[in-house]
Amino acid sequence: MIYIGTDDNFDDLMRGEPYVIVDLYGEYCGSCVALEPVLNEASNDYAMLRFIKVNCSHNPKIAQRFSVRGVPTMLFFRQGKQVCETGGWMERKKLNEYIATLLYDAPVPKRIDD
Amino acid sequence: MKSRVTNLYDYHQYRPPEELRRWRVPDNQIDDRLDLLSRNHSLQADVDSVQEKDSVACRGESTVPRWNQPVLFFYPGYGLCEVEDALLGMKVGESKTVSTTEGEITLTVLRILRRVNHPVDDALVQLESIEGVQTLEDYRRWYRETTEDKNREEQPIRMAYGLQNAIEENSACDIDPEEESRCVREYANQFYDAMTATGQDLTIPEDGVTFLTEEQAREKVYQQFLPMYRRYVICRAIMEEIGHMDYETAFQVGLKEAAESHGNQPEDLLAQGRTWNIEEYAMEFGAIRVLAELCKQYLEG
Repeated sequence: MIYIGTDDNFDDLMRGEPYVIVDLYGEYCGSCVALEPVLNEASNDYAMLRFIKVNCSHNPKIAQRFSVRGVPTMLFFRQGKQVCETGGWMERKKLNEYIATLLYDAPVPKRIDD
Repeated sequence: MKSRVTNLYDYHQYRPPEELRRWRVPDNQIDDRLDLLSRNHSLQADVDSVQEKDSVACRGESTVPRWNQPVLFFYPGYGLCEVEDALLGMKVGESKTVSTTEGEITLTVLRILRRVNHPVDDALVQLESIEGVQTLEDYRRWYRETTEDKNREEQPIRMAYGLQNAIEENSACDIDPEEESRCVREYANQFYDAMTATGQDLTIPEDGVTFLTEEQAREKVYQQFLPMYRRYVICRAIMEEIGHMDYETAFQVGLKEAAESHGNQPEDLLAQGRTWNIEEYAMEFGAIRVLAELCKQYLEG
């Protein structure tokens, strides 16, 4: 399942979670729409990881706080500390690489939008 | 305007791809949708021994720091790490020492969760909170109606883009070079100035090595935009000859269409004045609307 994050509840959703993946998306963003089923599937497969999605159009404080350059952006947190970040749509295989980085300190994959 | 289309492609010759003619929703598409819902509303159940695709929490003891953790999560079958497959068949409370490329790790299974998809039943579709949908049959009817309505609206637009391309490729134009240069130069310069105002430096070329002069950079933008002029002439002909509109009506229709697609008002698009760029923009949107109306005849019967 994916939790809906807002400017008001974001910190509560993060608190106490060992591993968190945050999807920062925007309205009218084709790549964000395309990323949604990839994240839905991953969130169903990986119990024990917390997935949060935040609509940046409605929650500008979160976008500012993490200096979001574009949407979709995904942030990966271990024990509350950001481990890595991605930009743009990605297929499941690439997402798995980032999750391996998050969970096991595997090397950070090259950003798709670099 | 001196530039004109001398031979407009006969749209009757256009044959849209079969997949764009379809708008009906087959039963298997609704089955796939229900299958997706059942996965999206899955639950996690505690189980005794590890199978592929389970979620497994373990204690790790190792001289390798990253494996020496009170709780590690593993997902056998997803290829996330070299250790995961060694967990297959292990039970809660069981320990095993596994060799890795960095050293040994002793894993003790703490908890195993298995995904259980929601049954495809009335309760599943009720979770979607769709007005008037209480049963599977309701859902099937609702999904079919809403998707088919959407398809009937969107498929002609997709066909229209194909038809517009066919018209562009197969029509003959007599382009007045002075008109073309004046219009495109105006737009290219507006674009260049707007980019510069936002801090972008178009004198930096893609290879990042040889900087362009401002004059060269403006010329590069101009050359990139040059094909727009022929498209404008063709779209204008589509509006006038196929849509049977005079130019001013065509402009107003296209402007309204362009504004609606961006969720704003025609006057918003005219904020910078009625430039050639806006005229071209309106003609492109208007032409697609005219062609989409035409393409409705190609929808499957």
